Amino acid sequence: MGLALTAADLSFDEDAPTGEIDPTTLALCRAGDPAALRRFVLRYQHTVFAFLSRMMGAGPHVEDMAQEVFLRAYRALPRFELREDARVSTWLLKIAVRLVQDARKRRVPEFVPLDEQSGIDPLTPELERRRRELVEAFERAAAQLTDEQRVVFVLAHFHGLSMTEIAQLVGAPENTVKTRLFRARERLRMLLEAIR
Amino acid sequence: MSTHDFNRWRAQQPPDDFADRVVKAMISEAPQPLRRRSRRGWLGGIGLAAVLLGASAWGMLEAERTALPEAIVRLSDSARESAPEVADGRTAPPPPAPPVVEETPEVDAPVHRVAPPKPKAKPTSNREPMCHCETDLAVCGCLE
Repeated sequence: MGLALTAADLSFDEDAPTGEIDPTTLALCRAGDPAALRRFVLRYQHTVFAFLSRMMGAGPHVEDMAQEVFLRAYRALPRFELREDARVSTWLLKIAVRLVQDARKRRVPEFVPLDEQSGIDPLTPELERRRRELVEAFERAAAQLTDEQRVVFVLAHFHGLSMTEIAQLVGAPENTVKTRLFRARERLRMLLEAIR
Repeated sequence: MSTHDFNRWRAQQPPDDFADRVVKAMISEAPQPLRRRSRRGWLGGIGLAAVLLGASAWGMLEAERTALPEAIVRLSDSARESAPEVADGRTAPPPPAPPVVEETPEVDAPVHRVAPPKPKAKPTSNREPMCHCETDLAVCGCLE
């Protein structure tokens, strides 16, 4: 392709902190401690925004939905138990998946290219143009996936969830999830080849 | 195309003040679920108590209604009441009434045994003998 893209161009989630929140902070969140709640939101906001924007398309609605995810999580926090197999990030993604499913029932998804929503770091004009073309091509291709394929693809590829975790999140058998992921990848590959 | 290319699918970033706004919303709505839950809890408790009271009242009425006829039946069935219980707990059938022997002039003649009266309240009808013998004979001629 001949593009010399840096790591910063490829990953837009590099500001996102890694690792799960500690049990002490979680206990303080349950008690309604504002500082702990702020740490909680700061820790997971990138994950929630990333999932929602990839599922629903970028726009101001993503912010509203992300706020709703955190509010639902806050209400359900007393019932959440931090275990080895129950990560907070997976739990938040589960809430986000439910929210997306509810939103899909209400309105037709509308993908808006991110460049219309936010500015892009200034690069050289040629690099900027090539990058913009690639990004737009990918977003167009991703928009053609079915809802089921997209949610499985996003959770597996961008959030690193296992097939078992995704199957639990979307309420489908593991083999179905594997098939959806395979078809999503194939379809994206095919669409991007056609666009190029 | 490698999985590396999938990373071109960019994600929207949260605004700088997002966390502060969300925390503000969390704190402002914190008492609401508690109030709602406690009111709902009170309503649920009152409803449950009403259902339990109604069910127990109905149960008591039903028990009284069914107990009365059973007592009447027990009192009327005096034969069963006085009957001894057999080993397996069932009530033994009433003992047969002593046979009534009619006095006849002939000593060695067979006698008619009169069946003991049945405990049923309904009276049995008298049946005419099927033979054509005279009715005042102690022994029917057809049996000899």
